[in-house]
Amino acid sequence: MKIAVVNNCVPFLNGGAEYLAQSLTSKLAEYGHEAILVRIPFAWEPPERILDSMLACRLFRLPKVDRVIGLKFPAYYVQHDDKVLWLLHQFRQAYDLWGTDLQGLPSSKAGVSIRDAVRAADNLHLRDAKTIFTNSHVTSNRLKKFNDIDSQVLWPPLSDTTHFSCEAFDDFVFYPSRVNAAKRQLLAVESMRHVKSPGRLILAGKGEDPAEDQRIEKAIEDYRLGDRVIWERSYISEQSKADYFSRAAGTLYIPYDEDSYGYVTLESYFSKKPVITCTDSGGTNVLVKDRETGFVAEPNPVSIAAEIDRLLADKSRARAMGQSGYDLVKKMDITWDHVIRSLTT
Amino acid sequence: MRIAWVSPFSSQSSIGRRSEEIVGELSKVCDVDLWHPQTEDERPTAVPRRRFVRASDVDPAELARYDMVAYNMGNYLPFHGEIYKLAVGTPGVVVLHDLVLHHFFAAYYFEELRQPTGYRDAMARLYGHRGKKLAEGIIAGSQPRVWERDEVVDFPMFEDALTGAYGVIAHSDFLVERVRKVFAGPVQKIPLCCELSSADSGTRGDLDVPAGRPLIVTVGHVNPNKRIDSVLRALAAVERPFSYVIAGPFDGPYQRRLQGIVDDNGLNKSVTFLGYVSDNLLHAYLRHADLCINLRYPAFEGSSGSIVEEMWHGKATIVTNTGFYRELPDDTVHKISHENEIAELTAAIRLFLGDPEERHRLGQRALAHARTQFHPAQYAHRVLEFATRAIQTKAAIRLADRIGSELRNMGVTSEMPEAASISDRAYDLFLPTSPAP
Amino acid sequence: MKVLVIGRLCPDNPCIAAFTNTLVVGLQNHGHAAETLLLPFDPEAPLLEQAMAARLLDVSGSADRMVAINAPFHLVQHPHKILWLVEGLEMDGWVWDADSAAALRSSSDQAEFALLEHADRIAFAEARHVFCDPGAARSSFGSRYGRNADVLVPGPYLEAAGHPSGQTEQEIAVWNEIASQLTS
Repeated sequence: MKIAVVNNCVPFLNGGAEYLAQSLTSKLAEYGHEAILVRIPFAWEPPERILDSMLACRLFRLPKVDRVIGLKFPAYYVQHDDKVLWLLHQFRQAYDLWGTDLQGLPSSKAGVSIRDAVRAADNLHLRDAKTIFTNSHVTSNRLKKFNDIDSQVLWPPLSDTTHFSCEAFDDFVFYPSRVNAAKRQLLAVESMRHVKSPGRLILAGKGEDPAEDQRIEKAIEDYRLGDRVIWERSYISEQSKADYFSRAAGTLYIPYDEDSYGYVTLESYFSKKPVITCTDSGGTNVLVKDRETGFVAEPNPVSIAAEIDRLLADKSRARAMGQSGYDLVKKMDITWDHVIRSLTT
Repeated sequence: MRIAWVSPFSSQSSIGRRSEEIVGELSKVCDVDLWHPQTEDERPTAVPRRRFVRASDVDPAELARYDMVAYNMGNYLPFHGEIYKLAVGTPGVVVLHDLVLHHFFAAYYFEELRQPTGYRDAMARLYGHRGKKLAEGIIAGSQPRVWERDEVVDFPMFEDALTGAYGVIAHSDFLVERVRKVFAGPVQKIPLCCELSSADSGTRGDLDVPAGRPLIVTVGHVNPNKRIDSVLRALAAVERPFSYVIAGPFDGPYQRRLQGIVDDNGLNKSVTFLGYVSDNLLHAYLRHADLCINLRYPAFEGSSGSIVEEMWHGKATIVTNTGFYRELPDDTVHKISHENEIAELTAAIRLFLGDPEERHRLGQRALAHARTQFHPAQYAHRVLEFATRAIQTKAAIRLADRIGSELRNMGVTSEMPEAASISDRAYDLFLPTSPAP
Repeated sequence: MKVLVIGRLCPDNPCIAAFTNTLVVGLQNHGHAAETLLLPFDPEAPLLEQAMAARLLDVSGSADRMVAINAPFHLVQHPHKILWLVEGLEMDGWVWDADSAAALRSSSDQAEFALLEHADRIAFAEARHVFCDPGAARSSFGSRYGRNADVLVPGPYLEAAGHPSGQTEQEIAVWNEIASQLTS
């Protein structure tokens, strides 16, 4: 069938959700569908633009497609009689982030109106979809809690796993990701102060916030971690990333409260490497089981450092946990076959 | 351009008479269908017509097929009730014949819906606390019915006839000004038109009037704002013989009062109340009239079909200097003030009864004016010109409704600044800001 | 600088993807970051609503320049907007399309087009520059929108997924010049 995958976008910014949207579109084509990716720009500053974007998505028309697969707010408001959602993101600022430092909307009357408008629109238009899948139990739970809508979890697979391998367990932990406050690379660097073993931390990713970049650079300098923390800031290819995974002792992935396990976690397990995450990292706990497929630390430098040391001290245990993680991913059928079947029936 | 012209079409409706002329001319310049409430005394027309009994009988999809639907609204529920309901369901352009539609809405709420609270709510919505208190007093019986008093012009209620409209046609500057205060869409003044009947109007001898006396005529529904009581008092002071004919339907209380004045002043041989007359007979009286008297106070109508007819007949006419009459050129009608009504009226009647030449000259100037301003072909052309503008507004309103619906689903109401901002941006993007001609 | 190329999503018209791909490559060769956004549009659905949808989008914070290649996305907001209207890139269903204008069956259609023309006037007035190729309805723009369009002829297109290495030196030079004009 003719399928439009509809996602929001911020031009010139690509993250996990964008990668997933592109992968989904390619995979749909591989499975014999005519698939197009529709990216609708979304701006949330100033907050009044949020309402504009929501209304724009309601007024757009998609010509001649049989099905729409909506991924993120507000693109999933696009009208179509045959719509399925694979919900990656609601506008969390209107939900669980409201009332926190990450609220993002003003607490004024105008901000409250926008918050309420998002909730009202979600309550109404999410129900337009025939079926709602989400990318994690965290997203599903949030959808149920705030909007009283049931959904099924459809785990996001990697686009290509053939280039991942397990070659060695060298003395470093690898943290590939966009660099920003939510991913907490700064916390990772601070943890390295307390790591007793001679292992290193290799960060790979582009900074999104110059102020945060400066904080990380300053931490590396202040704690004299120049030899122990390597930050690959320029673009690294998928193969280079796979090479790092193949030789790392394990992966460090400690974002704050993410909805899903993250591609990094999957990539690590396809490389048969364990993952160190935190108790408050959110959806990583789907795959990272403490002492089974990795380590779950308290979100502070000392606790994280202790787990890094534990990982680096016992490579055979690391190998076993990496294998367990790989086996778990296989058992959960985190495959494109399952995804495409679910989204196109 | 496909137009649906919705109008009363009874022989007794002067608006129907105008519509008969207008759709005839419109049919020469566009596709027009006449839609009218079913009536036994319907007027003839060669224009395709659709009759309806109730508004609910009409499938909105049928009206949606027209580029423009024009609803003729006047102050009389029996003629305009179903038309009003049709307009509420399928918005169009309102051809607003009267400033005061209070009698219409009072009858609508009290007699048809039997919902006095609806009347109260409408008065509150339109005129605030003052309107609400007045309505409550009327409902309780502690206040006189305002539609039976001159103060009704302060509570005209025409505003409610414009709900959802995408354009308004009015027949005078003064009504256009009133409309523009409450209606943001396009408003067009088009002078009311008239077409003289070509039927033979016979001789004066065929009319039931005494020979040898000047014939003075007043036409139209006999009600207090036509000031006929003042006319009778003025005529009582005129020494010359005359024959005064009032051609129009009348009802009990006011007519009895007038008859009392006639009796008290010994005018029984000079004054005749004809009641309802056919168009042909009306034209015959106008054709043979020597003088017309056409007073109004207050001016409830948006224009005056009767003065248009009188001017088309080349008659000298005495009018009150108010409303639409004020807008007529001073040298085409004889204007008197309301404040000094009887004295000025008496003087004017004496003038014209004593000076046939002056009567004739005034009548000729009136005819010249009518020929340039009141022709149905001109009316039809101006309707067509206006339609182009109005249907642009219709398209914009459809978009606004769609946007409004989506925003309402988000809990964003029209009072919120966010809604106003989006509405303003849509307006600025699609609609030119230059004012209407 | 960052340049965003915006136009209609038309999966059935390979020219659009080919054109935007070649333009992006040309801009990148000229040293800029460039990206394409092809947005939904159905010429058979209500046009005013879709025009309003385009107008509600504001990419001011996302790029330094915006190049709109067809309607209704010439209405998207950006302080440095360039219109480049090229025949064959889905002009149909809009006011500029002579066939569509001729096919206006009713006065209501004409009324809708009049409103869209007003929106066009605004978009043309706010654009920093208007280019078109000789084939587009260039001659009508001046009288219609009070704004003449300069001619900018596109070079040969790469295929939709074409690799830049498929271009000759001359083709590269043509698109380099185009990029220079669009970003000057």
